[in-house]
Amino acid sequence: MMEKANILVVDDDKEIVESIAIYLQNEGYTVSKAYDGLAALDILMQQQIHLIVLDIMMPKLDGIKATLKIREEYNIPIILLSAKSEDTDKIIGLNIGADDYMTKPFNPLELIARVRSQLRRYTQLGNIVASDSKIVIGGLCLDTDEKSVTVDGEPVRLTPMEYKILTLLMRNPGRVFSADEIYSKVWNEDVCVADNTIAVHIRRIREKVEIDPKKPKYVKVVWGIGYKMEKLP
Amino acid sequence: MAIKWKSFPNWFYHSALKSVACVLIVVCTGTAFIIGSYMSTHISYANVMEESYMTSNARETEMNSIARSAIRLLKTYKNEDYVRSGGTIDMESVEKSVVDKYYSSYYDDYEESLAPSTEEEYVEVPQNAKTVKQMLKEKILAEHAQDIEIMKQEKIVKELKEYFFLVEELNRIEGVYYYATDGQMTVSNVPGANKEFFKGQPAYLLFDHGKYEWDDRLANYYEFGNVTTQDEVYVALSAEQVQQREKIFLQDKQYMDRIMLYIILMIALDVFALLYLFFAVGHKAGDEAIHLCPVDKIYTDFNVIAEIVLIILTIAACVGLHDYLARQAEQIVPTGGILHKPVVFISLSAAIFAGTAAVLTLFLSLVRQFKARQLLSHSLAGVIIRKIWHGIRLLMKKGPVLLISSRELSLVRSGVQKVKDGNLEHRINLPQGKMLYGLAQDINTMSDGLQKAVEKELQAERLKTELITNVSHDLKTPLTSIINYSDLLTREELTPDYANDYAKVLKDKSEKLKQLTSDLFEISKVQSGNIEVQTEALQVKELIMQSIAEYEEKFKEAQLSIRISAVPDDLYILSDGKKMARVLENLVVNILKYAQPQTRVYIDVLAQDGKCEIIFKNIANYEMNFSAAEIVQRFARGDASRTTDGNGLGLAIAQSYVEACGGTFDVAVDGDLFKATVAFDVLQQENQQ
Repeated sequence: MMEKANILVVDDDKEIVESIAIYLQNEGYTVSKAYDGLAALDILMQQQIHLIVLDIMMPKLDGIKATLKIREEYNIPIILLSAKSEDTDKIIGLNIGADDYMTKPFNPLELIARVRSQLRRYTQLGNIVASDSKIVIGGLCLDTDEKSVTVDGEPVRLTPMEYKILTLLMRNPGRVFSADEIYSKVWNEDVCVADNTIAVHIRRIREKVEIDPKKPKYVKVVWGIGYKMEKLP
Repeated sequence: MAIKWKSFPNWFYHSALKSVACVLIVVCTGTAFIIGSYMSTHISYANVMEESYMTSNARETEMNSIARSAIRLLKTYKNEDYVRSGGTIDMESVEKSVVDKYYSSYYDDYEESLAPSTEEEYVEVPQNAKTVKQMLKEKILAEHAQDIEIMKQEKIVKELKEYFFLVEELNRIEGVYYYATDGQMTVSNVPGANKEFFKGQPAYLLFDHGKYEWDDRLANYYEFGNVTTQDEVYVALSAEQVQQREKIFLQDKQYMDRIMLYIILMIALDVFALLYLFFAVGHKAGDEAIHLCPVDKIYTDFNVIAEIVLIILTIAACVGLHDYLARQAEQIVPTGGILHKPVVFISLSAAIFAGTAAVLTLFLSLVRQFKARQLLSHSLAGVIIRKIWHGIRLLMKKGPVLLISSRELSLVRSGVQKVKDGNLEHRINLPQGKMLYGLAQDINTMSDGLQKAVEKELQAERLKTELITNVSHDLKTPLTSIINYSDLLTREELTPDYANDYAKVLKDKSEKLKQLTSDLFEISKVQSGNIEVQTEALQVKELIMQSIAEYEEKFKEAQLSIRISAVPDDLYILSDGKKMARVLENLVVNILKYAQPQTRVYIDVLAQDGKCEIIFKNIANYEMNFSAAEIVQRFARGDASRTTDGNGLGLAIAQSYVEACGGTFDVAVDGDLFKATVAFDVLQQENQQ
């Protein structure tokens, strides 16, 4: 793991840049600051940058255009920050090459967690050796031989039932399982319970593997239908 | 023209005076008519303009009449024997009348005699028609010779009567001489008369072989008819007769003069009274107004016609009276009947008076209407013309509606239709001067207004959305700093110690502010319609389980136990899963905040009549002194709960989302029981994927 990663924080609001810088420096990262898109591109050319936290609404060059420019030459992780909370804004941001999207106002701890996650994925990407026993979805890695689960390299402790459910979901990414299906496949019994056992288990898995369990990245609740594992590269 | 009719003292208009005038006119006119009729029959010779009998028109007539009688005696009757022998009888006409009398019965008999015969014989009848007629005629004449004889004798008797009457008439008065001859036959009442005798008389008129001779005082004469140059006709009056007639003439003339004076007086009275009435009628003492009577309701043209008819009838009555009096005077004994009785005189006189009175009444009515200036307007013709004029004016005013071409109308109609259908930019283009041009312009103006209003509304809506987005950004940016720095503060060891508590408060409140702003924008978006709904079939059971699962530990912490009713697996609704999750989350969070600890929370699912109701019930931990309607309003919260956490938007967002997804959201408060109901139509089995 690379120490002292250099992170570029770009926002037209200096206080926000400053606060983010404080959090990141507390975590041991070095921080470069820019207050508009053009300045960000300048810094990017002069320094070795490992991750960018980029605001969308900025003067001179906005976050979306800046992202497009950066992606022409760099492969570094980009976390977009925006006051725009619409789904469409998020979709556009992620589609043009951003790696994550956070809406203001955000929980600074969550931002740190996402930064850490992105950095791990960026620096360790080549280290993960895909094999038959390993199922890899994004930063989530499940090893059926070791019966272990890691998120961005960090081991996660799951109960046997949680592990079985996660295995079922990860083996079929994108497919929606209803609670009854999961129950019959994991417990190998016909449905006889009319309670929220599965729902509770899924929630607990989310709390363990997701940075923000309310806005899960991997294990998604399809409301009123069931659950699924998001299909990620 | 303001004629001032009223310019006399008040007594002038007294109704008694007017009545007197009316009676006067009726009496005068009536009597004048009656006297006139009487006079014209009872005065033989007199003429107001003539001085003596000898020069009068009456002598001319008398002498002429004597001459004509003489000629008639000479030419027609000749003498008594000639009449007795039937010389004056036209035998042909006698025979003809007898034939006519019997012909039809004879013809019937003749036809009957043909009846039994064959058809061919019957056909021959028309060919012999003339001979048949002749034959029948001869037959009648032969068989009814006696009838002819009887008729001839009757006629002779009649002719004799006439002959004797004529002779009597000519010979009645001694001193009236006549002589007439055609060369062979002579009639005269003067034995051995010659021309000189006649010329010796004071009054004579001679016709001698085509030449007239007369005494020098005869002003004029009429030529005799039915005379030839062979004839001599002499008539004369003896001196005695002339004297006698002269005497009567003078008497008559005196009488006549008196009557004329009387009539003139009456006419003068009439004229005077009429003039008076003309000025007085219609007025009343004391005011200027024209007072109309009920009789004035009669249309003036009817009035005039009635007057003319009445005048004609009155004159007819006069003529009738004259005839009657003439008969009396000539002492011709009528054959009987009512005409010779005094009642005739009385009734005809009464008719004359009545007629006069009626004409006067109507005439005065005309005068009143003339004064009221409605002589023309109050006529039936006037009324009709006025009505027609009104009609024409109405037609001129409203008539143009009939002149609008259907193309024009359909243009306007289709234009209005287009605007109605939402094409607010459509304008009705009618050339100026068309009937509907004004209307089209007005509609265009209205469309303009509507378009502007809609544009304004759209702009306002856009601005609202932009405002939400912008304010959202402007609020969120500083909020981000607040959250970040308050969090950073809590991580510091602050002096004095209680400053750490302050920092904690700052952090909590900034978190709450974050939640509040995000909820506020959410609800603004929903209520301004800026929300996308992606509906799919949702399993109600799964939805509830998932929602509860998220907060299971929280329920335990809040010391609440949940009771969920059995939900059928196949109960589905059509809704937006994410939105519904938020709705249920808000309801659950609401319960967690406000439910009384150590109570049970019930989540019931009712599916009936095609409706699926999800009902959340809990016991409130405070007194709910608000109405159910208030609680779902933005920021509305029970007073007691204001002090606790929660921003009052949870239920409002839940309601907005449910309604945006096509369901209904209800809140009921019953004592301490709080009940929230989310209802959707049940999705039928066959409609699921």
